[in-house]
Amino acid sequence: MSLLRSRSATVAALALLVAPARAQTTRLETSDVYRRVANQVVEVDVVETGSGAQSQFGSGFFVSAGGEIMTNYHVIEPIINKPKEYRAEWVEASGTKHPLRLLAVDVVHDLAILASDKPASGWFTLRTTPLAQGTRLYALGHPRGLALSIVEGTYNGLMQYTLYPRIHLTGAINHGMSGGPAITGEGSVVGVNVATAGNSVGFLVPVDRAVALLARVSAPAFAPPKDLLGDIGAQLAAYQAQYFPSLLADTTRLVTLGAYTAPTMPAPYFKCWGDVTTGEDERRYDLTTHSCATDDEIYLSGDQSTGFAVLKYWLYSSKVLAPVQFYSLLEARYKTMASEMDGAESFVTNFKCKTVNVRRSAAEKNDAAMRVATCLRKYKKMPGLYDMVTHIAVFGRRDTALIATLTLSGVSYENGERVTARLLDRIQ
Amino acid sequence: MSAPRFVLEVRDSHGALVTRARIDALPVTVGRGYGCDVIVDDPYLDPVHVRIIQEGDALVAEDAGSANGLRANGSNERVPRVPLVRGTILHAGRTTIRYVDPAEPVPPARRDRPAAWHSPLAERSRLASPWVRAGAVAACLAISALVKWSSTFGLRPMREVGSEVVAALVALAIWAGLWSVGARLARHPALFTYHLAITSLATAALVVVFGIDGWLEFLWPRQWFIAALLLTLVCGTIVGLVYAQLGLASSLRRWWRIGAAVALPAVLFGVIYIVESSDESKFSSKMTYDAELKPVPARFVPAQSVEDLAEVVSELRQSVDKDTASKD
Repeated sequence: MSLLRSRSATVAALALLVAPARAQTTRLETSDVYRRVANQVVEVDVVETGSGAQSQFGSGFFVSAGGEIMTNYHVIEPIINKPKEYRAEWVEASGTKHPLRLLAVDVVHDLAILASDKPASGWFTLRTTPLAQGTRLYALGHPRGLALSIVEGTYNGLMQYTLYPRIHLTGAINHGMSGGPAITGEGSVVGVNVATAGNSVGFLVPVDRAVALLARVSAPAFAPPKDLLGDIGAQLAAYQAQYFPSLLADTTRLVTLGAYTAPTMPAPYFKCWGDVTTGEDERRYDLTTHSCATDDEIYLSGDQSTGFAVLKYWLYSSKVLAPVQFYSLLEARYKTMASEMDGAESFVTNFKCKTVNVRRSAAEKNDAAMRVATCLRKYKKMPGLYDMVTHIAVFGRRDTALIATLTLSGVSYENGERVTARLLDRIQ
Repeated sequence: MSAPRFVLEVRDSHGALVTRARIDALPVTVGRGYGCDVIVDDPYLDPVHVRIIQEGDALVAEDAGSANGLRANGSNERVPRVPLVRGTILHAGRTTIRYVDPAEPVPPARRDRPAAWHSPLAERSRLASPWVRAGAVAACLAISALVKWSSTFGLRPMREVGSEVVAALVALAIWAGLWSVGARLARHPALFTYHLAITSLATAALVVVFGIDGWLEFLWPRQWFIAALLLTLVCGTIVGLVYAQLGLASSLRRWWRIGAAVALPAVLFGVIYIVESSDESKFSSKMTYDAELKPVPARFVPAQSVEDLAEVVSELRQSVDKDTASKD
């Protein structure tokens, strides 16, 4: 799933408006929908302060008479992370530009709300309406910076098993439409365009998240947070507190990997897959891999994402290699498997690591022991958040060994430690 | 043989000595011609350029009618005649001729060390036997081959071992060759096989030290004394290597050799330290950790409990927190 961020000014011809195969006479004309809401959807630009040049663009829509505009966090992210270098503005159909002030963000669900000094001539009323699968929806926005476009699609419900709630829209959402609304024929907003997986598989942020964000800024006591990055950190920590307790719980299924058993599918929103490489012709050892990962992550900036978890296993075995050779292989793999993690200097520190040989109890004295290398880095401006990567090698047998890595991104130290302890406890 | 009457010291335009001609009888002719008493191959000389004659008690050099003339004692002025006294220098063509009185003293002989033309260190050492030298090289190659074999898991282990041995031999030969050439430039004997043997021993020692270090790091990860031991042994080996090589290739006194041998690893590790500490302050998303794994039954491996691990990770957190605090 790639975000709809678009820094490319390339203009591509798009054939977005494909006529549905079965036209119904009772259905609204798309042109009517477009005409009714066109003045409520705007282009949102991020502009480099020094040169005044457009840096990236997306879409947004009015959610109040006072000129408040809802869009995606990722559309306006530079004004948060580099407030001196970038500013945001919205563009009228006539080309007139108006400055925007950031009010609040919901980084977990990729939403932002900004204020304009120019009152809105029309706006969307946000409310949650239950929909049937297959309901026709209209996504609006500025694909690739082109003029406002409308795309027909169908509602396919909330995605199951995702860490961050998303509506699946079957419809061609394109770069630049991020932050635009997806509405019903009656004009009520169902969600906010956020991402695409290509081939007419699009994703929306459910409107209830936008309702909550609007409610937050509409509260009488609301003032825009002074420390936005600190606020974002607090949001990440609060969200994580909801899903972490269930991660690798005692009920987690176990997978058999050679002589070992290990937990798999740490939570329902993980996806797991496995692979086997046999050593007949190419290699002198066998490798079985098993990986589980959350499919989604939280966008912080172009080079930093967070809020994901990955659990990987590599089972090595060999009847051919001498024990010293087999352990040289393990050493080389253990050193390099998952030993790098994307990150940006403005967000995170360097990793620091410590290694310990661990044996769980005296009962296991004759069985395997583990080498555990824990690596930790801190989020500089989001207090209490870390990236924690644990590299585990279960050793002691002469011809088979298991390597495991657990990557937890944007976690509190306590949560990271708790989940890691569960993993160590359950690898047998 | 009796002392000559005098000596003519002839040098070319670069100041290099052409000849020291012993003169016993007069008159003497100097020139390019084969009939001269002192023949000098300088195209700017006449066949007979200068004639030296006796005039009473004095010796006089006179221009024999040359095309380019005769000058004396650094002057640019042509002179027909120059009286010769101790230290007089004649300029003819591009040649310089110094009149040397046989009584002129020469500086005392420069003291030479007995090590200059043979190497007692080499001769006294066990390496004097070619079998020992060959054995040292063979041991080094065998250890390299063993280490390579134990760390290979590719399809063609013997080919990898073979190329490792060849590469090791080439590297040893280049290193020993450099020392030999250096020794030769310092006008010492080039003891190539001795250098090869010493280098082999040091290399074998380093390979063994690193091998043992890997095992120690596996058994006791992140212990400062293991790192200190490694550093000591590596430095010691390098010091020993350089000390021994200098002993063969130079006539430096013992303390100079020790100084040079100590300075080399000091500079080497100093540079490594500077490079590494500048790397450390750079941003990186890489993780580096003690990743040694060895085939040892688990019961022989000193291990800690899960609670100990929690404590270590907690220390890690404090250290990460401290770093960011100090940077903010």
